[in-house]
This record gives sequence, C-alpha cells and structure tokens, in this order.
Amino acid sequence: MSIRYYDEPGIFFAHALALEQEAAERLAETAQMMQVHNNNALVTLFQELAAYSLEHGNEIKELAKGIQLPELKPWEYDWPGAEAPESGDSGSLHYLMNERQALEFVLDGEQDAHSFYLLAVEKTEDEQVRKYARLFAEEEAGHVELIKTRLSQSADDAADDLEDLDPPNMPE
Amino acid sequence: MSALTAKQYKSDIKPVWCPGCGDYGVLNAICKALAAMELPLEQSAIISGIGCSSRLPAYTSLYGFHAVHGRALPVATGLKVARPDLQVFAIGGDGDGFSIGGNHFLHACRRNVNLVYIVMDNEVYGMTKGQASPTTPADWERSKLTPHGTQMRPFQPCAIALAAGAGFIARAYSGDPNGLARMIVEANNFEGFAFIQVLSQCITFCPEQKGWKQQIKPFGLDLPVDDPVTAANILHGDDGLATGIVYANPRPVWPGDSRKAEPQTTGELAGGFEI
Repeated sequence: MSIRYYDEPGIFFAHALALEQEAAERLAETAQMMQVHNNNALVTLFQELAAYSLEHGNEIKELAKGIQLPELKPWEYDWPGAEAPESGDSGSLHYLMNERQALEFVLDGEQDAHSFYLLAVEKTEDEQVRKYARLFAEEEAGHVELIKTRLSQSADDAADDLEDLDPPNMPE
Repeated sequence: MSALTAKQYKSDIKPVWCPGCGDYGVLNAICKALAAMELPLEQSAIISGIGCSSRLPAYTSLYGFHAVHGRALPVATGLKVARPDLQVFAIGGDGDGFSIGGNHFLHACRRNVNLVYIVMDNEVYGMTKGQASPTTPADWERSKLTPHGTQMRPFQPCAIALAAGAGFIARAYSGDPNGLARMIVEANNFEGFAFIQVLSQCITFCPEQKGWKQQIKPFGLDLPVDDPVTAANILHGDDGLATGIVYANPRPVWPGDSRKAEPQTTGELAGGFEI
C-alpha cells in the first residue's frame, strides 16, 4: 500500500517541507520567467512570495527537528494532484499576465495547501500530526486572507483577456 | 559526497521559454530523475537538436551538446558508442525529432543503442512562430501557412517507434513532472533505446493545449506489455492523450559484444593503419 501523508509525523513533515520548497522554487522560477519576458511589474511580487515560502519552509524545518524524515522520491509523495498543492498550475501562467491574475494564480495554490492540511486534520489518527496539520491549516488560511486582501487592493485591469496587441505570429 | 538535489542539476542559465510552457515541467522532471538516480554530473550527458525544447541542455549542469537540427540522435548515438560508461539522454521537440530528424528516429529505434530519447511534443514549431509540425492535428488552422489545416494524418510517434523496433515506449505529460521523473528513471534503467513522448503544451501558439490538463489520463491498463502486437493494438486504439509506459521488451543492444574486441587505445587504433 502506498503511503498517506497524514499517517505519521515523519511522513507528514516531509510533505509539509516539500510543499513549501516546491512552492518557493515555482515562484522563484516564475519571477525569473517574468523578468525574461519584460513583465517587470510581476518580478518583485513573485520574488517576494518565493521568499515567504522559503521562510515558511525553514520554520517547518525547525519544527521538524528531532523527527526522522523519510527520504522520498518525487513520485512517492502522496499529493492530491500531480504536484505539491501550493505550486499552482504552471500551465496557467502567461507572459502578459497582470498583478491580479498573478495573485489569483498564487491564491489557487494557497487554497489548495489549506485544503491539504484540513484533510489531514480530518483524516489523521495521529495526535501530533493533527496538532501540526491544524497549525499549518491556520497559517495557510492566513495566507489566503492576505492574498485576498492584496487582490482587493489590486487595480482592475482591462487587459485581463491576455490579448497580445503585437502577437508573436508573423504575417505571412 | 552527498547526493545532489534536483535544483543542483540546473545551471545558472535561466530559460527563455514562455511562462506556461510545458518544457519547464520536463526540465524539472529531468532534474528530479537525475537527483533520484544520484547520477554524478560528469557521468551524464544531454544532447539536443534545435528548437525551443532543444535549449534544455544549457539549463542543466550536465555536460551537453546543442547539436544540428534533427541530429540529436546521431550525436547521442556516437557519444554512447564512444563512451558507453556515460548515461546519455537525447532530447528535442516534435519537429526536430519527427520531421527534420525523422529518419534518424527510425534508425535509432532499430539500432537500439542504450540511451534515453525524450521528445517534448507540443505539436507545433514554436521557435519559428507557430507552423504545423508532423504531430499537428489535421484540422489545426491557426497558422497562416496552413489556413485550412494540414489535412494530413498526424505522425504517431509511439506506434512508429514500436514498428521501428524501439524496446521501451512511453508517453507522459509535462504537467505531471513527478510521474515523468519516475518514467525517466525507468527508461534509464532499461537496457536499450528508450523513447518517451512527452505531451508538453505550447500555450503561445496552441492555447487550446491548456485543455490537456483535463483530457490527459493514464492508459488504465496493466502496462507495460512485452508483446508488440498487443502494444500495437493499444497504440493504434488510443486518442494520443493516454499516458504510461506502454511497451518494455529488451533485445540485444548495439554495438554488441563483438565490438569489445576492437581497438580501445590510441596506440591500438594507430596499429590499424599500419601498412
């Protein structure tokens, strides 16, 4: 039988750590993509969010001190989808995306991470896992609220349809 | 020395691919697979042709070679035959591999050199601004070069690999980098030519491929099979969007044992030219 991420503390913390590390790498990678494509308005946003994920990863590492973490291969993680929940859907990125769309991309990831921990609270039979899953779910709920607040402050952008006024197709 | 992380298999050169491109997922999968296998950097090499996806070697910290258009496989074959101790990965896109390099693809399957060939298939020539490729659907009308679609049956990479003699045939999706990493490990462990067709979306020229996320599913069969007839039935019966290792059936790799008797040192080689 394959592992379940909420069965025991070591496996749970290995997942929590990978979740933040993969999110940090995805966000840093996205910042770099936006830089390459001159969408400079979003570079700082994604860099800032990547730094938060890295920081949360370090906090989880501290909490996991003394717990034996298993070494899992990438495909051995028990993610609900194809990738770690907070990584977001990289296929939804676009070089013309605006701040609102970028925040929506991040919000999806934060909401998925929140659901991931809520499910662990509900399903686990291990008290230590439940305690930390509840804590992490609360943290993720806080992130969701933060992103929602930023979204509400973000200007409504008329170019939400991602239409490129200078499209890459050359006239032939 | 401790094992490297997936991130350490990436170079400092940042990809110029479009945000949303599936090739990021393939790069991540390759690096995850290399880390899982704990392959030393100096014992692996990655060879590409030309195209968006063929930029990939520069984004890794392995030895690499960005070869001539369509010629990733001949270069990779030469490298593996000359340096059998190396783990050799050939990579590229559908245009590079199935059109310009189509003939090499057939003979690489047939020759069965022990290497892994990963094709990032986005069904379009992205680097040259979106022309139809061999795997483009017949009714795709987005290019001004083919305003009425190609009206040609798309190339069937996995079925053709099987017919040409490949021993390991798989299809994957760039949106599942962890699953693809596992597949790359299995392909690398396979003794012989291992082919992986990766459906890797081009959101710039084929935005409809964003729908792949909902459409792609596992074959849902007890795979891989080792019977070519069964594999052919599976591959001819699917819609091109099912993933998994379809066929694994090792056969003698090229070059065979007879090559071991050939000159190995420069002195021995020089002896071969004596009159």
